Amino acid sequence: MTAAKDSTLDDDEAIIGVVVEGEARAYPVAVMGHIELGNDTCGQTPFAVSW
Amino acid sequence: MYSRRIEDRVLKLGHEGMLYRNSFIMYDHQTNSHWVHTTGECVKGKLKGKQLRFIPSSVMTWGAWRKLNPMSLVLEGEMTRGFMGTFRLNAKSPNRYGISIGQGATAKLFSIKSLLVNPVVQDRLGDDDVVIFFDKESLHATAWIRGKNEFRQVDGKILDQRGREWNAMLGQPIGADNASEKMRPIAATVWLIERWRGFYPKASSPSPKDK
Repeated sequence: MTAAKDSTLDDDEAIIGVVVEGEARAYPVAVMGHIELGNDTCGQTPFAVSW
Repeated sequence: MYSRRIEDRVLKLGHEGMLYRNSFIMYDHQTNSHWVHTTGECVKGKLKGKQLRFIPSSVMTWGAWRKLNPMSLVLEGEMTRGFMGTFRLNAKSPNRYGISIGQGATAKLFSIKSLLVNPVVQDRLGDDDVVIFFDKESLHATAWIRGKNEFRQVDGKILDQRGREWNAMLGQPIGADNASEKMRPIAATVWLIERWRGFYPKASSPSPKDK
């Protein structure tokens, strides 16, 4: 994962965003369209992102 | 987006490589049970009948997201286009997509077409009074347990019964210094309407034009 300030992602790219336990994460639709499914964890919360 | 915690288990999910009602199937590494990615329902295996808990998430542009969440992390990786890698929810095709809240028999769908006309929707979901806020410019929806709050839109602003303006993205009054006023979010997910009806044939579409 890359910090927002360091990302080169275009502003008009669609993302799936989530805030869990105060942590914000974004998953570009164009990346999710390639992998379709990811396992991630914020703090004590394990979650899945699918597209 | 789902919690991977089921009772005392933390599941690791993988792509099973098969479809169920045009939705791909996930399997968990722990029991090899099969889960529908669009509904979070387990349809086969040891955990059949269990339901993954939705975690509220948002679909919007990266530019809008990072303004709201400047400390956000973002996933980088190989990008694809075409059907799976493109999301162009636009006002020219409002009949194809809808916003779904709830699960199973309590699920409800609001078409983008109806939300463009009425971007603040107050409804019931199970035992809860809920509100959906829809931003016509970004075509992004958020949904909240509203409790006793009553909302209306005036000149593009969302006002409560006391005349206070609310931030639809954060679910709290603008300028509020009391975190207890923040409403509890619920998952509002984007669906192709035709596909949603396949999963929830007995569920309702509250907007008359959606029926």
